[in-house]
Amino acid sequence: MITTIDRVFVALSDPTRRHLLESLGGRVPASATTLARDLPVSRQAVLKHLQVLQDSELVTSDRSGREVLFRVRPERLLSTASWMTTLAATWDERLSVLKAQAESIPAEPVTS
Amino acid sequence: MEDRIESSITIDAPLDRVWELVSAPGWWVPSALNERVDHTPGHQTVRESEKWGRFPVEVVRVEPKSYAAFRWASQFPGQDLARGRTTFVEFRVDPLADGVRVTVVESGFAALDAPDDVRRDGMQQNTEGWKQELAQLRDRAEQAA
Repeated sequence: MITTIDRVFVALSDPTRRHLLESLGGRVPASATTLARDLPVSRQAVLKHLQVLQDSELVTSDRSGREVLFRVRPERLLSTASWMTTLAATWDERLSVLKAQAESIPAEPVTS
Repeated sequence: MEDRIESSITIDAPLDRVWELVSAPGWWVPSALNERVDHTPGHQTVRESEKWGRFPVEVVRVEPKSYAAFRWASQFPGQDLARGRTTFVEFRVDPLADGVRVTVVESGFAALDAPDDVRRDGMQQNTEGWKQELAQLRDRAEQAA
């Protein structure tokens, strides 16, 4: 699980890839050519970015005739978001334990 | 994008008491072992319990009594600390009028598979919070599903 989440963060760290993910999120499956039209980078660069997105399972592709069409896979993004939420909750709990421990000992004078 | 978790809490106890607890390496992992606290940068403490496993914790930097930073391999119980598998945990301790605020930030979840400069450039290009980004993308993805 952690290895895939690592890749998700690396995938999302690039603004072009974030743009690609947003573009794909709101539309029917699209080819690299179509996606490249909206971007100031070459179709080849778009393909490289799509490969990174595929490696992290954020995007998948299907062959349609002679074209390859890309689409978003929501599960990975949702599971990453939920993993981060769980981790934040874990820290909330640890801090609660810290608070209980700190507040339970009567204050003693501390000599410096 | 920023790969970090942040959480904070206000504690009604003296600063010294809170600092003592928060600056103990690996305090957040229950341990049957009780090593003497050592704040030397690079020093490793092992936290270990039957239930949670074995976790080495390394001191990165300690600034008494306001900041303590450590590294640990939270997702790899039992393993030694290795480059590429550790996250960075920072604690800030700030006195308030009515108590002490403790803030924790855990970061570094992105793998170090990519070369350092590639990752750094990627991270720096993002100026928005990751939560917003993820939420937006998730909404879009859910609509498309």
